[in-house]
Amino acid sequence: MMPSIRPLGDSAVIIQWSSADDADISRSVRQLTDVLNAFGPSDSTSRFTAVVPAYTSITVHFCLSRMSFQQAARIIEQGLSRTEDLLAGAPALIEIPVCFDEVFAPDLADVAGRHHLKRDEVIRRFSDAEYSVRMLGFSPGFPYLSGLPTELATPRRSSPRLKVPRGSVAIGGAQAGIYSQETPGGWHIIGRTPLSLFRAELARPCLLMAGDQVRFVPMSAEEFQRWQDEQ
Amino acid sequence: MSIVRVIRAGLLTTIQDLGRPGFRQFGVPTGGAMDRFSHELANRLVGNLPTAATLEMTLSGDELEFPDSTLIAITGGEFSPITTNLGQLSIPQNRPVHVSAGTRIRFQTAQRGCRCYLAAAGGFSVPEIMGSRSTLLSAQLGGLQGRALKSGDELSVGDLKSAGPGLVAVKEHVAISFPAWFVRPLALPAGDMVTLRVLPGEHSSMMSAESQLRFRDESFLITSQSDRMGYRLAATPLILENTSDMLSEGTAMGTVQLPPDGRPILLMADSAPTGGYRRIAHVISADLPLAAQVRPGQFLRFLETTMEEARSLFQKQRANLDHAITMAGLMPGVHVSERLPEPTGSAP
Repeated sequence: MMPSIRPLGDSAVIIQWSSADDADISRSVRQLTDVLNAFGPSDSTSRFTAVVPAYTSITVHFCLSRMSFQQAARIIEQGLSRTEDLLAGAPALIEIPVCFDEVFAPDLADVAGRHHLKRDEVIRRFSDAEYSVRMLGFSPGFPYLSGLPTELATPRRSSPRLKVPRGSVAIGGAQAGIYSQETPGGWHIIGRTPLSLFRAELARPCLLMAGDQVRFVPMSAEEFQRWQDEQ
Repeated sequence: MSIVRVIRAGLLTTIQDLGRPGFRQFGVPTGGAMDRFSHELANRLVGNLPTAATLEMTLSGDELEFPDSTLIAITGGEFSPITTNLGQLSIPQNRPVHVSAGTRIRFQTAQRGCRCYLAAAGGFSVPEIMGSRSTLLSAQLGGLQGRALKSGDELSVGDLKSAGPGLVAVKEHVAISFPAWFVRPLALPAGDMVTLRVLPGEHSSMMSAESQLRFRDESFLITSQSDRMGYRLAATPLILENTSDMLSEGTAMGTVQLPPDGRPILLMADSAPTGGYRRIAHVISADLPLAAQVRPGQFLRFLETTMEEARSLFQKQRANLDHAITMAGLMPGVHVSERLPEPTGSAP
């Protein structure tokens, strides 16, 4: 299925897919992102300054003194024709340890109550599911995850918290996410991971990338503490 | 390696360069200088590459001390910089200026424009984070400990080896020396009404016909909720006919978003790489430096243009900058340390 290619201002292009099949789009976004990222070294005329995958789209930014919209669109079309020959490989599966202990999960009881489930049942269903990273955004390294069991979907809190601790694992509507930094936030916090999702000093600063698969693995408060002490 | 001391910090001064565009896919804003034209001009006037870090001052500037002789250039908004310890000499903008050791310079309140840039030969030296020295306030990273400058800070300036035109005839025993020529700067906002040229956004036709006309004809107040992330604009709310939710998609500096409350937001340098609001317009690249020089209380109007015009205006702007620099004989990477005499004793 071919996406549409349209300008986003004078120095960016947005590539959008529309399809009923979510998994299909996710795969197309992942493949084309890989291909566009691999185009040429930085001095090459086919190099974009940024390639930004999102749910059903990719936005590419280019240098206006180097290329026009038409040239950028042509390079993207070449990229698309390359992805047609590529077979989809299995995405990386990354396990995220999460402590669902009450101190880290201020909204777990509320979420359980809304869905008439026991706490343990929410944890079991949340951890049994496999999630896919659809995009990074909101704050550096924050993954938007699809794959939340529909019975756990919970509308955002009516008033956002001013401070959500780093590592908080949360539900917002039909999505799940992990707060990569301490920021304000309106999602329901149901646990916390000791992993760092964003480390600015690293060449690859994010633990997760768009396209990765994620599974949450419950851990005890003692294990959480040990993990943190070791870091 | 020389240093610059912050005697009294201004309202909001940060270290900036051209940002980190390649990290947008990780949710990191591009950041960097709001007015990239003035940032680059300041750098090139002292022989730096455009990627060197400058100081970006906002509305009210700093008082700085230069313990070592330094070649500087000031561009962008007009902050009436003067020397404060050696008589009050005005320091001209848009040309290289040699500052002798011990000089103090006070940047005052902006008379015109909103942001001014100070480049020093060699560039302000802080560690690179994700390939850039720019300060990202929202994530508290880059620049000087991820924050704005404070009184008492000491900034390192790189060695002159990467810098330097030989065009400043340094006078002995004076605080500042500068050539008689200057380079044509960016046109700053002339009044309280500033027109920015835009390309239509993908969702502009989702506004009611009446709102589409109003976006074209009305002026929008820049509210006090405006910063490096974006400007919140005020006017009679614009009406979206399609109010369905959308999935987050890419945005760019210059994108005009329309949230459900009907008040547009102009996204600037530190805006998030993606957004879930409708995109009704995009300010063209050639007008982004001007957009960085407007301030709260002023008004914006949007004038639609074409993609071809947008590119040709940008190329013309670049060509003018290159031409001015070439005419001045300024080239990056020239050794000049031997051409700038060390000051003899402390300046009077």
